[in-house]
Amino acid sequence: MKRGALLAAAAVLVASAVAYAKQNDAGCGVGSLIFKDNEPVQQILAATTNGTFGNQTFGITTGTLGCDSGGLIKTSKAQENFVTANWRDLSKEIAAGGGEYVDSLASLMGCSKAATPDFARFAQSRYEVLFPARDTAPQAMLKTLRKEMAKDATLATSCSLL
Amino acid sequence: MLFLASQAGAQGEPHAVMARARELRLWEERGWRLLLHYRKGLFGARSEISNRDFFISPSGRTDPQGELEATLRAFLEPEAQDRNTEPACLFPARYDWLRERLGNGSLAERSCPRFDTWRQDLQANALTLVFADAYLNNPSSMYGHTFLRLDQAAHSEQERLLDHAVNFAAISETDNGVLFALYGLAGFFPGRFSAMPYYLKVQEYSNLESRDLWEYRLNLSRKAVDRLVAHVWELGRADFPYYFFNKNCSYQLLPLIEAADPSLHLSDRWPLYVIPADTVRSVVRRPGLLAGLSYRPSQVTKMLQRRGRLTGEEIHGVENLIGPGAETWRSLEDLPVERQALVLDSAVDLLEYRMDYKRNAPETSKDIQRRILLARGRLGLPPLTFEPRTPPPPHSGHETGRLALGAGIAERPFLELSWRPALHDLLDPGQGYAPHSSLEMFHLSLRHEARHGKTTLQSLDLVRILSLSPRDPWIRKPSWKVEAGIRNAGPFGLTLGSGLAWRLGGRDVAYLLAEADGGLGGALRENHRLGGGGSAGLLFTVAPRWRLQAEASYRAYALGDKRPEARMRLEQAFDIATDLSLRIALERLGRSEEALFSLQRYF
Repeated sequence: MKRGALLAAAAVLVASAVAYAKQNDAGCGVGSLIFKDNEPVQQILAATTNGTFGNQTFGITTGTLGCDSGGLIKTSKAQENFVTANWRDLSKEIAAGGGEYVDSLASLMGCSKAATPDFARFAQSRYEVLFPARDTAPQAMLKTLRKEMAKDATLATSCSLL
Repeated sequence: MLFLASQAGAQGEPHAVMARARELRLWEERGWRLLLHYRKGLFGARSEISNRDFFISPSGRTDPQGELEATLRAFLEPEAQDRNTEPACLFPARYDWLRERLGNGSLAERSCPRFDTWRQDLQANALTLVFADAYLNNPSSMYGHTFLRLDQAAHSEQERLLDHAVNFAAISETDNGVLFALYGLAGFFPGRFSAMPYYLKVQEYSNLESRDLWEYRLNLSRKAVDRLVAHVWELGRADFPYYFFNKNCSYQLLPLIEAADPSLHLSDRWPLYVIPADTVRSVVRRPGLLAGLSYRPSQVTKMLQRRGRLTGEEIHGVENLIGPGAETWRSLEDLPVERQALVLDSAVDLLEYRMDYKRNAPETSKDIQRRILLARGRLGLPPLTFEPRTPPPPHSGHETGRLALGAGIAERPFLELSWRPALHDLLDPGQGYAPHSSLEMFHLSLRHEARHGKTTLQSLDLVRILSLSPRDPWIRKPSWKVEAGIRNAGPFGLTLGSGLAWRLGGRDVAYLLAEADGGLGGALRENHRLGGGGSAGLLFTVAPRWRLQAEASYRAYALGDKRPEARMRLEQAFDIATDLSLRIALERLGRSEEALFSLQRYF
């Protein structure tokens, strides 16, 4: 009888694990989340449950937005997701010559600590190239940034994840 | 076979291992109770986790021994084909704990690809408790919100954005704001843990909601952090019933920290309600647990602090810059380069604030933003250092509950006892609380008249919120209030008000509100009334520990009991010691007057 119960429990576990495993990898996009859609009244009421955006999609064992990495964003997508989610802050800091977001991006691009100030200055001097239009897309900016960095002697060698 | 069993890391003989577990009565240990979230109930132990998936035994929720035996039996099964679905990999914290308690040779080392990858991506070596403070014009957020951050060893302080947050929240399935609130209060939503990059939390709280973040770094050993990470993985498959009052975001973080370090007792005493700021205090007061505190100001806080450094002319310049005109640029170039940078940074702040992170920002705004950022980039300056002025931290505020005992005189002398579980009114000591915001829930007052020996319900405020937003050239929000409850031993009333406030200097404000008011109750003619009117008030700091509030209101009623109501009130507060204040209140309602002296203790 105990063995039967154990088999049943195992079956339940396997079934739910299989259910959890069934997701489509929709590209781990987080950019769509950083907008304020709620009306003020909803915001006030939302304070009661601390319901934050995207909680369902960041389940730990199910993965982030369909990504099969247990709630974390895969390293390969880390740069893109960071740039998309923090677009406004990055734009401001690149223009301003540096800051926490710029340092974090440098880290994601594998730049050594010594090269981080060079990265900040480099990005600032190329601002118009990186943000050529009003509606520059984050992925496009990242692509341009990687391309430009590859042309720079210091950064090409100091940043390993271009 | 004997040779294999005696090797460290190999699995022991199942019957022997099970017997040892029974001999040690492991299911009675605190470590097991914490991992399964058992609480002592009226009918024995019951786990706070409600879904079947979390338990291996069908009766696991209420049977610690049965769950332990079923778990151990499952762990003793031979390794499965699919490493990721086998029990040891679904419940790695339980596995590690049992392995530790049963000793060498009990359970073999197991590798779990998915869990191991996840753990390596996290690389957590320290734990931070993050507190999101109230946001502007929303007193209900004064309760705050807490979540955890898993700090990565390799990250410097400048790379904290890349760490990961662990959050507990209600999972809502409705878009309807009212249902959302009701369900949250009644426990209809399940609560779940989720993990996400910290920068998403910062975007959400700091930018979208304009809430300051306080990062409390905790002193937990590396082993404790490892245990926490393993347990968080397990909690991915757990549903908790979510109750806004007592089983909320903050409450569930404490058992999680305890599971990491069972020597900590942080969640033993939370009966009726849990307020996030209290959970932070609980952690701060534990000797040796707090390693440090960092302040991360919200976008609005930074905007206002930056503006504080500008001259009046520069402020006008900022306002002109974000308008569409072209001639505004000339005066900017006359300024020294550092001032230009400051003005441009403020302009970006203000523009972003006006655009309010809405999905469809107007194209003209985006054009202006781009123009400003290009100009800023062309200055080619190194980043301006911005040292935020750090306000008193949230845990330094007065305690959240308040008990008051007073004596007064109306027609006859009386004694009054009042209890308020949460949270803060305009005359309570302001340190650590959002200024000009008042949030009171379930404030109960009882009055006893010695002469007649009767005790009556003087007032019961179910909810009383007042949000004053003093006029500001950049931040234009209405002042508003909501009150529901019984006052002055009268009818049950609901009042909604909206209006304006003005800053008079320091924390002093004057306000004017238009109000709609409805009431139900036997004391009223026709048992109801509906009408409106207004109120005017003044909040004034006389001296460092002495504040006063004066308020006058008038209401006329169109339906039901049409007798108008005029009220005047002057109340003063004196802080005698930490968490102890004296209040003197004088009130005139219609023709009756009363005075009340009371001693208030915050607990």
